[in-house]
Amino acid sequence: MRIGILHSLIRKEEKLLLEEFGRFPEIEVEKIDTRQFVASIEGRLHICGLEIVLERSMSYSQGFYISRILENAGIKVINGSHVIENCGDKVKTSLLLEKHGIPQPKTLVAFDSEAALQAIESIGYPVVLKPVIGSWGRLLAKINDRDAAEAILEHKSKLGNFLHSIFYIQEYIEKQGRDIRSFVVGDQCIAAIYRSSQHWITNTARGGQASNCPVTEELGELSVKAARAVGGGILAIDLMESADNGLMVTEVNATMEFKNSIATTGVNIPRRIAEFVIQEART
Amino acid sequence: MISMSSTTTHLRHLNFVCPVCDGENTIDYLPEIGELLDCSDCGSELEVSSTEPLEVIESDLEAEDWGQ
Ligand SMILES: Nc1ncnc2c1ncn2[C@@H]1O[C@H](COP(=O)(O)OP(=O)(O)OP(=O)(O)O)[C@@H](O)[C@H]1O
Ligand SMILES: [Zn+2]
Repeated sequence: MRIGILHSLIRKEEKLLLEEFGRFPEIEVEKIDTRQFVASIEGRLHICGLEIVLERSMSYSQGFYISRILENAGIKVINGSHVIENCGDKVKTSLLLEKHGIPQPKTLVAFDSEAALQAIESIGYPVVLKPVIGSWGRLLAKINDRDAAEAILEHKSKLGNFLHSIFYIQEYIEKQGRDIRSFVVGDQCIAAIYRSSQHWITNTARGGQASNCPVTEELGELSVKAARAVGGGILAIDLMESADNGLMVTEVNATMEFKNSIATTGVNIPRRIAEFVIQEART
Repeated sequence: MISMSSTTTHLRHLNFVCPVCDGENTIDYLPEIGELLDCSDCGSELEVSSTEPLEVIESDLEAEDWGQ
């Protein structure tokens, strides 16, 4: 069986995945580098005979377009391009979470800085402003008062590209210094970690400390539900525990990073991913 | 881009020179093309551009849509 891995830079994650696929003698892995990829729109590809492709590109746009092209040529991709699309844009994710009755922070969307200021004031300070496309906690802003709101909105509309004038505004959740990242593979929530930090942004890429988080029935069910809401597959769910409203989902990641979570949880996440991909290739 | 050859003892030792600071680096396994390595001297993130011989280049600056 031939399995493709679509990648850009090879991080620790991709190395571990290659290693896990390597444990199966009947599996041949073809590495597809996004930077060398060329396809004709009629569907002719320079790669063929692949049963399935695991998408691991660091770039959301490249991962999305190449997955869509591969699917068009009849190749199954995990995660599917519609899943990548649903997770890559926070407005799309929020709409799907709402549609599936999954709790999330109160969120408003505006397209003009004056309208955004009114939206912020209607939520009340502090609020969180996020780029609709972006990750690793970059360019997130916690806005504590009207002066800061005006300044940030002006900067975003004057200095940013057009995507930065899609204002995604969220109530600030007091989360007691930590949030939760859970890992879903297919129909199962296989592990979760707490990410703790003195800073309100707790991403491990930004210095947050990981520790094991037991997968309770509530956490497991909500995580799988969130994964299904965006289309299902191999997904990492970010959640917060609000004192008033319990567990809330903030986002779903389609190309999850997991290197800091294997030892922490004791779960061999790359092995579970490899096994799932092989099983999906056979169905 | 700088290249260096390998000297094989029982463990594999591969050398490369950092294109940013000229620092000498050694690793003890054969990396993948595209793999990220850190320079032990200056901490720059480097990308493996060839393995035989081992060559590294400065890795791309992070794009806005990069993430997970
Ligand atoms: N409404 C909120 N209230 C309080 N904290 C928040 C809120 N939204 C996000 N955060 C915190 O900000 C950090 C980043 O959030 P989020 O996951 O939305 O950003 P991201 O850039 O998409 O990160 P990644 O894709 O790497 O997970 C997390 O630590 C999260 O707990
Ligand atoms: Zn260096």
